[in-house]
Amino acid sequence: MDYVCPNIGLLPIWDELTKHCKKYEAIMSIKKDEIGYYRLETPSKKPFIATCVQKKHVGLYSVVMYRHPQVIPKELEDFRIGKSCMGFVDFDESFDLIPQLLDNIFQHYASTEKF
Amino acid sequence: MGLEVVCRLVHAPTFDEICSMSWEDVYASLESNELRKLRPEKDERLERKFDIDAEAELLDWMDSFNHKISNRANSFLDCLSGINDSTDGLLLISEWCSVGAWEVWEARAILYFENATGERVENSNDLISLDTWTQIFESLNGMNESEFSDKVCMDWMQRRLDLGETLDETKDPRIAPTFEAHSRNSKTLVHAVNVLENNTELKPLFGREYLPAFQWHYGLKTLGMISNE
Repeated sequence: MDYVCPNIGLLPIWDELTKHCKKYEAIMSIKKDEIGYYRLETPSKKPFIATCVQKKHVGLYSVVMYRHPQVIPKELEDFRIGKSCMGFVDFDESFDLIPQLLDNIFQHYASTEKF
Repeated sequence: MGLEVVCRLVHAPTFDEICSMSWEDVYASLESNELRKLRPEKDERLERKFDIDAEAELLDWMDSFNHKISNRANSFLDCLSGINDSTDGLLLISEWCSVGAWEVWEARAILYFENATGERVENSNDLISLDTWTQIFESLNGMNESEFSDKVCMDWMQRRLDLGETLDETKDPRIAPTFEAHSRNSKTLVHAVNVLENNTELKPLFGREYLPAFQWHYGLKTLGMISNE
């Protein structure tokens, strides 16, 4: 079923999160790029990162956060709402740490995967 | 002669270890031949420089940059930051740390890559793109060498026929050696893919002759990304 953004009021937050993810498009493949839903895969087709507007939050998803939680900067721990998901409902100064989180996830893939 | 496309199988733990050694330790251990103990064993079917040649190239390169290194006690990788063309050093280190490389002329690589991926190679940059190499490793992993070699050679013969070229050895003496080269190169490519897949410590580094070192891909990164970290 096609994705339909359930809360357009959260789109500015999704936009901000997704902007940082787009830096990796040169290396990763885009699997979804719709308004409110964005997903990247590694060249070997493993899920890299996803951002998605939900009804009450914007989710940032990466399975690496579940398996290797040390990639999450301490200041972002409070935003975890699931094993491999962070939820954002408002702009926050912690957003400054999103690039670091994404880079930690990328470095993890780069050190463990051939592609 | 055309440019060569290269896929080098780098022993990642050795690469990381040398990059984390101090500049002066790398230099001293190269001079004393101590670094040879770290060099991974060569794969018999892949190409690699002799120890002494790889050492000499790396030492020459370090000599030319020695005066620019402010603190030689810093790690090799740290010393590279701020130096123009510093990634040339990483490329030389990768040669040292590799078990060998698959090297082939670009014009021939097109034949092998199109047969491996089933897609047309539109331009020479496709030969060194992450997408292409990912597809090659996916499609050739586990494949029988002879099966791929037969496919490549049949395609090569068909292309010659389509161009109106002869397949008669008596009319063109280059046919037999070219056939042999296609057979050998395509088998070695499958071999390299399988060696890489079966050894978790190996990582692919690919590029082409005269490509600036910072543009060479090392797994998901480029050497330029590594030297800037």
